Amino acid sequence: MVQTEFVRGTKLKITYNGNELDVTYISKEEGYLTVKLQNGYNITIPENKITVLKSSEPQPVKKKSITLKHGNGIPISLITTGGTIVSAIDYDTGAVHPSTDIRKIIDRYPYMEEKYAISVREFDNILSENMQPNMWIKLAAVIKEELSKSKGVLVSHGTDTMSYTASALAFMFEKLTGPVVMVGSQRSSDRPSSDSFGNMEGAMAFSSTNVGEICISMHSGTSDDSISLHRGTRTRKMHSTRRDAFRSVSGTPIAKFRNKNIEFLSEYKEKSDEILLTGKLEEEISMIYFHPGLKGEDIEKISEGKKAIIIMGSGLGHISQSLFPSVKKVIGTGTKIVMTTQCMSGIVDLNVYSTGRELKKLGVVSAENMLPEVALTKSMYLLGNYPHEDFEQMMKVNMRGEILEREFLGDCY
Amino acid sequence: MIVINSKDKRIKIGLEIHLQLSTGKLFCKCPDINSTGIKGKFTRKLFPTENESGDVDVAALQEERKNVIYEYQVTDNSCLVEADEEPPHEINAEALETALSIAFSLNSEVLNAVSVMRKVVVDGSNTSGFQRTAVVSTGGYITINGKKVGLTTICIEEDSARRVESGNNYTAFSLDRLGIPLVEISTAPDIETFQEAVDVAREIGMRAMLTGNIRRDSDAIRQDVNFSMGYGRVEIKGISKLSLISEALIAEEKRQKYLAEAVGILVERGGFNGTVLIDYTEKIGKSESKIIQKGIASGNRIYIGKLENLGGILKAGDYRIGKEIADALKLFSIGGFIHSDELPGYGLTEDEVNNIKKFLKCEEKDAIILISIPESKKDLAQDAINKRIEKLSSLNFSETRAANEDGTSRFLRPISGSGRMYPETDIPTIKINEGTLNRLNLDSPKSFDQSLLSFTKEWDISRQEAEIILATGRKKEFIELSRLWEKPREVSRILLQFVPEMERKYKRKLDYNDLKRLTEKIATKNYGRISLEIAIEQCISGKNIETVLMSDDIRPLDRSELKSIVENLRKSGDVKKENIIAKVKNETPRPVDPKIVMELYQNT
Repeated sequence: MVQTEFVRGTKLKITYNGNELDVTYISKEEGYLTVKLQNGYNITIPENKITVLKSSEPQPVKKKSITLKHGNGIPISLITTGGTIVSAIDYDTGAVHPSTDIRKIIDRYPYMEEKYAISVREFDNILSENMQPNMWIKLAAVIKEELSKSKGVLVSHGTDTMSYTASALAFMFEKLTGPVVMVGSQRSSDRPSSDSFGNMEGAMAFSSTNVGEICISMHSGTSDDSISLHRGTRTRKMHSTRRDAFRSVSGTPIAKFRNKNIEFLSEYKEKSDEILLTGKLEEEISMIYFHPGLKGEDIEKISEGKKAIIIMGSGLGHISQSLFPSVKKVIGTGTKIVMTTQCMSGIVDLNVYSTGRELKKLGVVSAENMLPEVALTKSMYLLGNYPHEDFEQMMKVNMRGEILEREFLGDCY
Repeated sequence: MIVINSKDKRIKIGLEIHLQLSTGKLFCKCPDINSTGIKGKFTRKLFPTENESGDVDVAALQEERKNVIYEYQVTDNSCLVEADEEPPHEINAEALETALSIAFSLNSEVLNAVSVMRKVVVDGSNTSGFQRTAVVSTGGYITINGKKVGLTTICIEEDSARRVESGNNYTAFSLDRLGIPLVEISTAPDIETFQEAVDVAREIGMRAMLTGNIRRDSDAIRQDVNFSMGYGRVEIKGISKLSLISEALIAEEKRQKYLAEAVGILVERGGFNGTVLIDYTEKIGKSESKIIQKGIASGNRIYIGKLENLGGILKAGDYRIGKEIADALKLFSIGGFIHSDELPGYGLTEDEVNNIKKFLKCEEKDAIILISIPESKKDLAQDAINKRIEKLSSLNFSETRAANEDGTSRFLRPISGSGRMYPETDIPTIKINEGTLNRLNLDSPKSFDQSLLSFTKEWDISRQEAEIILATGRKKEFIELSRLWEKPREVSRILLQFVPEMERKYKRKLDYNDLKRLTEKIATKNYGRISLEIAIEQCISGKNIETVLMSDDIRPLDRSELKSIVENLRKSGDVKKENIIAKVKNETPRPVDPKIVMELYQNT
């Protein structure tokens, strides 16, 4: 048996189709060998069609270590959670490595080196769908530590659950001494067209303002010319792939960054002179998306052992009447049930139709116009820190801008 | 004189032929034709991720491009994929099969699996910053005048966005072309004469045409030429016409020959040691030269420099080192460049020129340059000039050049290294099953003549018509229309004669989809050729297709309508057997069946 498995990057001399080729070994899968030709192309060929004449192991690649020049600029902390800031490509093998080398961002915007003194702290390296509430608590502690040393904090984060993390942090921090700006990208940074550089440039600028909130900094539109700063408790990822996926639902972003200038567009909470963090969350809370055919036993099953259930109801906050007995049963065990709407925007009102009025009678709590995911993190925060009997009343209190007191016709929803 | 090893001096030519496919785009469902104008615009920046090749020139270019804003024009044949707002969809199976079919037809070894790569391109012509490309086969050959010319690879790739306009730190592209499938066929450097290059390109193009899936657009077929005559490999990109291949090669041979001679003179004189640009704005400020005054007015500085030993070879006779320098400067958007072989001129007096020469302590054999640029570009310009002359002095002319419309070419960039590729992680390796490969191999056209013979037979049209249909890439349209309207001879006449004639008459193009709809209508209504011709003419003359389809004008007159016309004519007198048909036709714009007219005339 001829050897056809090698270390990635091994230089090979092979014969294929009567020709001798110098190639670089990439991988082998199901009897197919992928090798890189000298012109850079990978080709995938059945292993029984080639003969390996010679092989030489790859030389270990020296990792370049770059130290960040600490200037006298504005001190900013960057906490990385795994949304890679920069990916480096190894063109020998075509592999893309995540990198936390902030120099590569600074390199895009030389003026930043003068303007900021950035310290990088690696919190974790995970995909955002693997983020868990207990990590939000740990992350909050790290943010507090970093914020005490700097003017603002950036948190790089995968976009999938970024708005969950943002709203959870928003509830945990009652007061902040500077902006905490979450930033991600919809095109990974190994691509020349990545939005991460622009988002990061905007985030850096936002991080030295006097905003005292947890925010999200992402593209305003498909163009690279404008970055929006959104309130962490009012933002949702509205598109799976577009750069401008993040929107301030039913409202206006806090600010926009264009041509190196920040323009404030709506009111925000200013920073205070102390940090107030309540690092506790009740994790036993789940969410149910109502749909025709949903069974009472489904609700009961998922509610077992839960302190609260968030239902994304239809329209104004409705579910089928057939589910009422189960809802009653669940509430009877002491579990809170919060009603939100699966409409992309708009308010829950349990007074308009009889269905709503009955749900209200059963003890279902309205989340008003809170986004469902925000109702979830708020419930976690309330049940983790307040007496349970205050839950319904506190849900109605606009604590971190999560409730829109007024919705306007002109605003995008 | 520089002596070149006569063995190396042999001319070697290789071709890369790019053919656009008419199968719709490669990684989305967009059509390859844009039917309306601009639907919207957006702007982007591109950030080259790594300086892959380590080449200083490339690095400098990339540095420069950091500030460039790219504007993209959205067209109705583009979607989120072209806007780089959505991952590529699965590969267009018809496009892939067409590429494989061409590969089989050219005796190339087809791969069982296709690995799509990203080739980093940061000039803005790809919204993603890379071009998706994959090798589908390796090796192969084509026989031209009894000689085998080898092929290296056949690839399928996305076409780039079309450059619409560019200015300082700004370039606009249209998304209409981005993502159209391109089959790239690369030959080995086996070609030895310019004519052979043209023949090879023509033969490969013809063979590909037989698939019926090659687009018929002015830039649907583009050739890159690799040329060497002993001074390194020069790649000339984007020759859109076959006839320009030999012109480009003749021009390139001449360019290299005289460059080598000019460099010989330079070396004999003692070579070039680099120039230093000196700010001369104050001293020349009073010159009446428009270039100088315009430059100063726009905030530029006027720099001068001595080009040691370059006097009389910048632009004299066939020596053109000056143009080489100008091309290198143009890359950095520097246009205002004058040298002493053109002076006095440009409004500069002999005295002014002599003063500069004196100032720079020039000897007879030296040249001077004047350049009008912003202060910020001084180092860039000085560097570009020095690098260009050094590179030429080494007698290694390897570089990538862009073809001009007139057969000449201009410096584009250093030859890119191979390292700029990495796998397209959004598209898993595409395995092609044996059954598909066998079918494609069996069906692939093995020679033009053989295909012509079977095509002529199958459709019962003349050999000449068949030849035009195949060679001009109308096969797919012909077959489609002939299946709709089972009159292949009529279809052929409409396609090859009537439509082009009307297009010339009205100076407008007929959209193929419109032709298809008209043909379908005529076929289902059983109307006949005249109706189709009237419909086509109305469409080309600018009438809305819906109006034409609904219009009575294309409906042939029925028996009773004809009868009343014939009777009316008879009443007015002066009708006879010889003129009745013409008279009837005069009475109506609608199609008339002469047989019925004659019948009516004779029977009443």
